[in-house]
Amino acid sequence: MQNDYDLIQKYQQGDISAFDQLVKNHLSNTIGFFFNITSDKMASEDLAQDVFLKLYKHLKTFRFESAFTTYLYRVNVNTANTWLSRNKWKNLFHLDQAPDRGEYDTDLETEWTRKELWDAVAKLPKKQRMVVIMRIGQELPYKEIANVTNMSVGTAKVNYHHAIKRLKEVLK
Amino acid sequence: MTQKLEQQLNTMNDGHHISINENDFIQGLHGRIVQSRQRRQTLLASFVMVGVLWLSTLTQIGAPIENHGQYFVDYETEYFETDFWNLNDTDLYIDTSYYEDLAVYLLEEGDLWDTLDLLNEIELDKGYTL
Repeated sequence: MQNDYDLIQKYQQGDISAFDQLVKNHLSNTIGFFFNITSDKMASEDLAQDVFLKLYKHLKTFRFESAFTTYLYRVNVNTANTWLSRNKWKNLFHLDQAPDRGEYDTDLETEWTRKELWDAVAKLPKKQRMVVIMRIGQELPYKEIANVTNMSVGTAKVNYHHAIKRLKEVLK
Repeated sequence: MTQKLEQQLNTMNDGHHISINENDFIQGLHGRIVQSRQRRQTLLASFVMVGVLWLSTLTQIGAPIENHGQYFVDYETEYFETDFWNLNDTDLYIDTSYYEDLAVYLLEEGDLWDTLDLLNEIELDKGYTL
């Protein structure tokens, strides 16, 4: 399997199959990340397509100043952030009448559903929300989170703990 | 309590594997890429059209409107020339010029009295017609 660097370089030289390979390499992770947030396969596929569409447009000018995965995480987090904000407004206007439980939630002994969790995450301040999305949705280490969000590891940890405290209060 | 919540969050994401057909996904993605490109082209074309319209509007500001007077004259001419009275008038005009030519010819020939008769006849004809 070719590494991301080679694939991006080939894509920048006009090889579309290299981009397809890049998508295949990161597809399951990206969809998994969005599924953790949306609990909806269709929605996570749509969001993943949004991400790869953005990559298709912007990878042509990618300058390799950061690792591709960091760039991908950033796009993922921004897309998730937009989705959560949009959902927050939907909830506010009661556009989603029947809250759907995630298909995996039934096996878990949680007092709240996945939907309730992400509705609560949507209400967090932006920095805390981004850290939580990466920590819970993508299970990234603090170092990586700090890299993606351009904050120090300490700040990332503090933001995460504040967010968890707040979530705990909301999900009581 | 916070640790419990974190544990629950971690458990929640464990073991999630979504089966997805990669080829279908990539095909769908390429469809969206084409769609996005078409949308961008349509948007660009719309902007160009608006630009051209704006430019042509801008260059026409201050241009004299000459058509109005011309149109007015045409309108009047048409109005007078298409009714029956006007057609008769045209006929009369043609006849008059014919008689006038004839009068000049007679004068040139030296028939003064015949010429005067002819002119009287023309005057009479005019009064008749009107």
